[in-house]
Amino acid sequence: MQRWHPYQYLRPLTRDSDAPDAAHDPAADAWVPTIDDLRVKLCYICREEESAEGPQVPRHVWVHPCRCSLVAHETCLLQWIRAAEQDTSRAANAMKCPQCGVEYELESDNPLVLRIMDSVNGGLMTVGRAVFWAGGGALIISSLFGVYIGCTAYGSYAVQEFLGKEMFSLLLSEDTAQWPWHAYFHLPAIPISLILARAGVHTNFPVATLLLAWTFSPPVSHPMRDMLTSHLRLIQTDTPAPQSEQLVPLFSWPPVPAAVTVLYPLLTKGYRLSFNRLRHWVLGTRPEPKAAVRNYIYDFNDNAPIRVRINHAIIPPPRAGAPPGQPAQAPQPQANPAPEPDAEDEEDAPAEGARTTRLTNAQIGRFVGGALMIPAIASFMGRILFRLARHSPFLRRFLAIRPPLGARHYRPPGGLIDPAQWRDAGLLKQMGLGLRLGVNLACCGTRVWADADPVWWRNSVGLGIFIVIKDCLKLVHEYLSRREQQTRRIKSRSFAGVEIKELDLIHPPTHIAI
Amino acid sequence: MAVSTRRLQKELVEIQKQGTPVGITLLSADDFQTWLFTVQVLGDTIYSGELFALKFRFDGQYPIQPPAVQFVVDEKYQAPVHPHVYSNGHICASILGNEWSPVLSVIAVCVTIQSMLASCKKKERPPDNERYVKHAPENPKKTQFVYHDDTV
Repeated sequence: MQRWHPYQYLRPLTRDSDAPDAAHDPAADAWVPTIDDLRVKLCYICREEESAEGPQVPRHVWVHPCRCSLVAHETCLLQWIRAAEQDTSRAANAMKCPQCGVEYELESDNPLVLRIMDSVNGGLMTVGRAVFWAGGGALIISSLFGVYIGCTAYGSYAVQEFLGKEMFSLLLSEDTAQWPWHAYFHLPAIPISLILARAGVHTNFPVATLLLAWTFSPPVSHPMRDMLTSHLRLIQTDTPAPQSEQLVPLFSWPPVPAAVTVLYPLLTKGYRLSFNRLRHWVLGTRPEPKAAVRNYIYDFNDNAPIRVRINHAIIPPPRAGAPPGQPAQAPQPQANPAPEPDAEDEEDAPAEGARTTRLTNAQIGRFVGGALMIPAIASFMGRILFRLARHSPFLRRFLAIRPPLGARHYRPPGGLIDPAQWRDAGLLKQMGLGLRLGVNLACCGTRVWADADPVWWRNSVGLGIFIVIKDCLKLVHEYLSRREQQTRRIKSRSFAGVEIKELDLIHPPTHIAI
Repeated sequence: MAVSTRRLQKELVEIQKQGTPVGITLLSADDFQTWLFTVQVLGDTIYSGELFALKFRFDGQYPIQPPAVQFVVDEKYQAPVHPHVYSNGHICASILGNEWSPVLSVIAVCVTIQSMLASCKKKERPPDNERYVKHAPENPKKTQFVYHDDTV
């Protein structure tokens, strides 16, 4: 709502210097005329005239608001100001004379009550604006928080599947109040890292969030009492166990998580390389330089693809004619030698097709679902390995299966450092001991990792086996469908049902009945 | 009678009595909704020999609200090629928007636009002509022009 502002203080600055006001000069004998002294008044807004000789009924109120000769009806001028003030772009010009530029002065009945009400109104508007933005912000934050809760819940499920129930209850437990602080970062990162890893952005992500993050984490599930006793033991041990027993040895079986983290990318890379070689050998193709740029077309419902261009700069792969060594995709009819440009066109089309990937909803669902299934698959494969290990001592040793600790009553050995030794050691030695402890923790994990049944290890092995099986199945599928395409022939039929007269035959039958 | 009609009546009487300025002629003023003028730029300008038509449309709020003014684009007339005139005839001039004042009149607007053309040195369309013409409303008053250049 626009309102009238008190403009009394907006007096033109030039007023006093340009011409002395009559009020300031009481002795002025120069007579200054006013609006009432004009014989003919012409409203500059409505262009109505009023002559002093012919009095009009009803008489209008006239004003002379500026320093030039323009005069106007007061109602016309007020209407103009009101209209112009409503348009913010025009408001600047509304309060001054269009000819001489002098600011109009307004006087209005603006009692204290109105001013208070106006300011209350303005304050309420401000509050309303704040409520609007706060509400919108709260809505966004709460929906983000919902996503966060969902990701965290999934992360805790994934940890339970991947590390096994026992280590889950030792390191994380069902009781969220016992969770270590870093769980609130690492757990929600798990689904994201699984999806990113499947997209090939970073292959190490799931290892980091699923495995490495939990190696430093002290066990949470043993009661406070146990913590205290272990602490007390740290202080007043009489016969501390030798350190070599307390720290986890770096080279042990199963490999420590840090070693897995280092080896994992190397192993993946080596596997990919050798599998690709196998694939080309099976399919009889030769490795081509992969087109770096690909078009992704998002097919929302098949008929209206939403095009997502990953990169506009499409660099065509170098192709100089048809490489001589390339095996022919299908036997070319010798009688019809294809001209060179045609052959290139034929080759370009599938190449372009390979560079453009059509993403359908089904594919995206399969992609994300497959990524999120990984912990469950790993756990399933780990259980199968565990069953198989019952019949094979070698497998049992390879998987390093240990008896369960009894997670509820497990108390990790305290006294990692002999207190007496600590007390006697100098500052440098203390630092050295601390460093050794830290490095050992970072590389090998807490004692829990050495003592508990390494479910995570058989799950990792199982997952590896699953991936190999899956890749082999995919390859078989690819091989079979390729062979199906190569052996395709179109069935030729006889001319049964066609009038024999219509056919131009080499040996027309002699007994045609006309 | 509405204020706008009374004021337009007075402006029309004035035009009939005193005539229009040089280069401007009244084509039609049959009612108080739409008036048509022809505008010619006199003297040695880039528009010499060209004849344009200006269309004024008034609502009941005139002169508190500015009239809707545009160049006629039909079989007979074309909009002048000018950096502030779009090819559909719409004019980007501040006096038709936020610098409108009731002290201005139909003839004053005609003269202003005539001098806007006369001072132009280079025939070119506004840089965003294509985009504007594609989406422009029928009435130029519904466009929020940004008046960027006062020199042309």
